Amino acid sequence: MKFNKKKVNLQNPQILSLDDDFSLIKRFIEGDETTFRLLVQRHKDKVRNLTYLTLGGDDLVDDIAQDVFLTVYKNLNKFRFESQFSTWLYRITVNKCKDHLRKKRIRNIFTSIKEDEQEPVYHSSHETKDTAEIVRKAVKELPDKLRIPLMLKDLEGFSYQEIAKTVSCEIGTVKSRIFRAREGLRNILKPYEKELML
Amino acid sequence: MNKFYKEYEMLSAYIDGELTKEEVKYIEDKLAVSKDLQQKLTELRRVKELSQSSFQKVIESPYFETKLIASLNSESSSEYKIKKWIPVLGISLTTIVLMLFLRSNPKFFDTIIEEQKTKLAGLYTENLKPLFITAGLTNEDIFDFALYRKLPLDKERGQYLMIGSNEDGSNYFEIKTASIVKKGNDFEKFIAALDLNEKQKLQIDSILESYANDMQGQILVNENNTVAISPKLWNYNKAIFADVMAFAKDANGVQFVKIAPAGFRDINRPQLVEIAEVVKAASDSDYIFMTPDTIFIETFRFDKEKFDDEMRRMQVEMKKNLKEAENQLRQQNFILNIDKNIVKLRTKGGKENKLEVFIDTNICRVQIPDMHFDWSEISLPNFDDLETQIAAATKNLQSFTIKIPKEGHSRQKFEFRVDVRDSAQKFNFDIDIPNFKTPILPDTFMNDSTFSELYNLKADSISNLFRQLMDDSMIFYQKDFQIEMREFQKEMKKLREELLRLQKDLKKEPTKVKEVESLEI
Repeated sequence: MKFNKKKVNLQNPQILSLDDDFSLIKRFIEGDETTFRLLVQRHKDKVRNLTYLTLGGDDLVDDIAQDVFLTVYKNLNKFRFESQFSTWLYRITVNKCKDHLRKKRIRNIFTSIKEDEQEPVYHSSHETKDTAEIVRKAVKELPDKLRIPLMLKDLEGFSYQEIAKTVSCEIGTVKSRIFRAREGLRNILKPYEKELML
Repeated sequence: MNKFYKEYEMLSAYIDGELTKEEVKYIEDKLAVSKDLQQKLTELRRVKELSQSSFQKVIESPYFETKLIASLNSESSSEYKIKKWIPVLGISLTTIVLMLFLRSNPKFFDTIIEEQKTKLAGLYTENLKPLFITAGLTNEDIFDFALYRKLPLDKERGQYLMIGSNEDGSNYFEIKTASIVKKGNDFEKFIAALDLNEKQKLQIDSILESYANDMQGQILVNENNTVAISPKLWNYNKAIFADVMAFAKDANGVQFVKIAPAGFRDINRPQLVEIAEVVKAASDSDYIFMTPDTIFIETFRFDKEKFDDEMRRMQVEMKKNLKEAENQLRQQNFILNIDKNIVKLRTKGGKENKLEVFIDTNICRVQIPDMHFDWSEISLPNFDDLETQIAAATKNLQSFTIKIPKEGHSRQKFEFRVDVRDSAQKFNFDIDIPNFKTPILPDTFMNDSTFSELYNLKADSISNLFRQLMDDSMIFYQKDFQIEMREFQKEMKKLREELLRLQKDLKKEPTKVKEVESLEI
């Protein structure tokens, strides 16, 4: 008996980072907890940076980032594979940061003397140290809901869609908030118009 | 809102590369002609440049992973786990320990329950004293009890204890209030009818007094409103009745035959005496306890000797100080109050021992199912062979007898035997035999009006009494059975003829076989 053999061009499956995360998570759910370490290695920098930027610079970056991963560890079994792991991870990170900021604000209300906030160590590349410092201070003055999308866009390079998922809002809102953040920043920096060449 | 706001916002998205092609074309067209928009674009680009250039990525933390894993390990460490699971572990361990303990002590709970029951029963059984010592039981009361099956609990309030039997053979007792109107002194009428001399009067008094003494232990009461009644009361009723009848026959046989019901005319005295002996000898082990909130059966031993000692001591004291003794007696006066709303039924043993309690405004009735007979194990004939058996039995039936085994207290087999020419058909009955035989002829006493009229006996009351005696006796006379059997034979003949006719019809009409097969006998 002869079979009508048809040659099929099989392409090597394209391994996406998405699939990598998913396969690691699946293995973790199946009981292989070593995969969690791989997930941490893969995403720790992003989480730490995101935390740093969201907080506007804080020495508690590592504590909060650690907390983020502990939360992920405890809840990874509940991950539903409906969105990218990174989106889920960043949403947790942003929420942890928001929680921290909110608590910090409440503490400030009840303590007359401001906490011994250590000025974060900033690292500037292009601008002079002073200029960068002025800008960072100005960014810090922005409300969270404007600052966070701005940071995610300008420093992390998130698309509007990614930002919308991370901060749980509409793309139109992200667009508006980023514009308002820039406008707000320009207004705060107005006194330094000349120095900053605005 | 600024009229340029929307376009400014678009410019911000434009520099971020987030506009659609159409939007890009639109904004670029606008930009080409609008200096204001061009200036805004420059501004926004500069702000973006500043924000991007003012921050640098956070310094790498070499120990981040190590610290995180350490945190995870500490959270999942055994100590942490133990702390987390301490409550669950505690409960589980307790359960395991309990299971092990109960496994090695399976009767632990039973013992506790039993102890509690004993303690609870102890509350009710404490200080129980005979009711009739305070109720003042007279010979007339004993006589009335034998005939009417009632005992005075509280004469002043007209409260009586009545025992009886239902048609199904179950026994009951009732506590009735002021519902019995007594017509004259039946005991005196009885003495007069028998025309007893002084010596005989003393004899009958002595007989009744001896029972009065025994009856003391049958109903006990205490200050907690508990009434304990011995189920032996039913047998005492029979015993006293038998004893009185036996005495009457001995005392004045001629007169006795005139007044006694038909069943007593050919009375066998030794058997009557035997009844009394059997009843007196039986142990008072169980009592039915009626308390204000519960009714239960419990083993209880009434120490009559000790009580008699106390009574003697009281009598001595009574002589010394009459008033004080009177007060003491008065204190013992008993009033039974039963809360009609709270009556719980407790059972002991199987279904056959189940008590039923009925309470209404003036009656508290406790029904005791048949204590003597267990008909559940009657073996039935094989119905498949019924036709052949009926044919054989109706052809060859010569004698029909019931063999009654010797007296005893244990469960015995009764044999129902039908003798045929070639073989015998047997049906076995497994029955608890009554403690004694009562030689009473069935179905004749009800027609004897002399006895009833003489003592103003109510028909239902006396019928209960005799039915009880009859049911317990299980004695049948050959003569009665012969009459019954003749009737039975006639019925059997009819049936046989019908069956034979049916057989013939079947042979004639084979098509009807199906219909006939479905007939059930």
